[in-house]
Amino acid sequence: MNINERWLIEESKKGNIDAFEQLIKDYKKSAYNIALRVMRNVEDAEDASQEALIKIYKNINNFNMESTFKVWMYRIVVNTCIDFKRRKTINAISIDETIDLGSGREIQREITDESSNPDALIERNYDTQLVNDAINMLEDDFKTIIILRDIKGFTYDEVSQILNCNLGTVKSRLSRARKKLKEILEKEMKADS
Amino acid sequence: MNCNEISDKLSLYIDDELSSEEMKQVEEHLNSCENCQKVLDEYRNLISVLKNLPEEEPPEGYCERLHEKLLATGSQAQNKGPVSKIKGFNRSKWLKYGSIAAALVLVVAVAGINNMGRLGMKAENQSAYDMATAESPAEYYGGAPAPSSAPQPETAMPEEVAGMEYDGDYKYNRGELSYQSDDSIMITSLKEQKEMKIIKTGTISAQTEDYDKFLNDLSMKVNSLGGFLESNNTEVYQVYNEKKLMYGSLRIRVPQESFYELVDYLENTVDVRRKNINETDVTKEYYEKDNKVKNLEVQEQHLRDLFEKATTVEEMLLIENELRRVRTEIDALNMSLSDINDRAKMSTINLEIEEVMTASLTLKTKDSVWDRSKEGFINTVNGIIRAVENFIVGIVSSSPILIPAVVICIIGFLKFRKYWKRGI
Repeated sequence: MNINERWLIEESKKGNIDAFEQLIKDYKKSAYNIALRVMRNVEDAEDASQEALIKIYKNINNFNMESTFKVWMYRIVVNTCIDFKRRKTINAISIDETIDLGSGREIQREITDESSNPDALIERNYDTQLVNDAINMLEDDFKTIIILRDIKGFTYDEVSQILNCNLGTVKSRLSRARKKLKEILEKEMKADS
Repeated sequence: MNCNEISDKLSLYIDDELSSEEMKQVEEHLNSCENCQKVLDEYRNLISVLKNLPEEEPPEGYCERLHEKLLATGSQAQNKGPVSKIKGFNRSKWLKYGSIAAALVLVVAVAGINNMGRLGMKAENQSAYDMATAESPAEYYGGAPAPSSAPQPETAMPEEVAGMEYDGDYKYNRGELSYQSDDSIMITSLKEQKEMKIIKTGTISAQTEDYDKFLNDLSMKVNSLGGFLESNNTEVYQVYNEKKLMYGSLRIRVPQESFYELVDYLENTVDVRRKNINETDVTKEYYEKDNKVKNLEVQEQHLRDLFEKATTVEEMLLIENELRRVRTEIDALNMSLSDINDRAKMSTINLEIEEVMTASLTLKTKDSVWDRSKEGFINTVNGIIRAVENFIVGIVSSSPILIPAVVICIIGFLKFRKYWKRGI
């Protein structure tokens, strides 16, 4: 934690909103994206991520500098998003795509064309749209660990702190999550081809 | 290692999270297995895609809306922020101490309910217990026949207990005794309504200044109470300045209901030096004997029937022998029954009276401040001990309810804490 961040945290604890906004400047996009992946809906993502950020602001006095601010913050974001989703009781996987990633359809077609050649399967890049879809199909536990480790690049240790579970759980869960994600992708590609 | 095991380890291999030995194994396998190498590449590819997934920009106005919300909470925090912080803090504290308090209340309540059940029975229970303590084989002090109407005992009379309140005629309904200590179970097993057989005995040593006058007054008093002087041994034990000092050993019998009246009278007229009052409950013994008599009488009747049917002399002799034995037993038991009856009806006071030049009639001295405070202190200590005992008994006896209750409380508390943590 750098001195600047520490100072911003101290200021935020005093109720300085500007300092807090400065503090979360780099994180709020991440928070929004995590929420978006969990909620899969722009409105809900905004609500959930803002709720999380406000919760962070309200509870910043409880932050005791033991862990890094980043870990502490993400923990609140993840928990809030999962809770938010639970409150909305979204239990059915929505079929309509709410994340508009642009002209995904055409790119996908290109890929499917390529994927007709089995050997090309390894070399070609997975399409982001397809990957996003696949991530969306994961259950929440797998989804959060993939987001934290592979998308956000947290270390195993940090992930275990954020998810409040031990390192062994992180390892095995991540391993299963990646396997599952790969399976989904392969299935989707086969279906497309 | 086969391919399945390797594929489970690939994820960790990519992140360099394997031990060096596992690392080596995986590498060796990968060199020889093209398939696994392919899977590894797929994983690597996937992870790199994930790493480079473009992040969505928050929608327009996101920051402004967030700012507004923050301002709203900020102004809240300014108005009641610190308060709400404290409130939040207190809330968890409240919950913590609240649950402890609730658990305590539960404990006390359960214990209280338990005790209440006991208190409701207190009157019966108290006396039952008292009888139980006096239950040991009765000691006999004397006898004179009479049917019985036994009084309620106070206690087994340790030293001086003001028992005058109990000189009424009480009947004791044993059927009511449904809740009591083990000691008295035997007594309560007699379900029918039966009279108590209590033998009251007092031994009193006293001094007087005027022996003759005292003796005169005493015999009048005893007569008025319906009692009599069973024995009177009087002797001169000392001659002092031409005055003969007398010593008397008296045995007084009074109806049991007047027992305490007489004790009271003696305490007021002479200087009592030593007093020992005993109440012995022989109810159990009495009714055991009574039952025995009834059984034996049935047996006797049976034998008589047999006797009439007997045909040979030998049979007759045998039965006659048996009859005689039964009869003797019945008679012996009846005698002891009437003895008990008598002693229960008429109480005995053994009085030793000594004539002295100046009786130190210091009846009220025992009420000195020191004694009273000592007594009070002892009473308080006893009270505390009893309360603690009752509390422990209450806790232990209610533990079947309490333990699950406490467990539920703890689980509830933990659940809440979990929820609270996640709430942050």
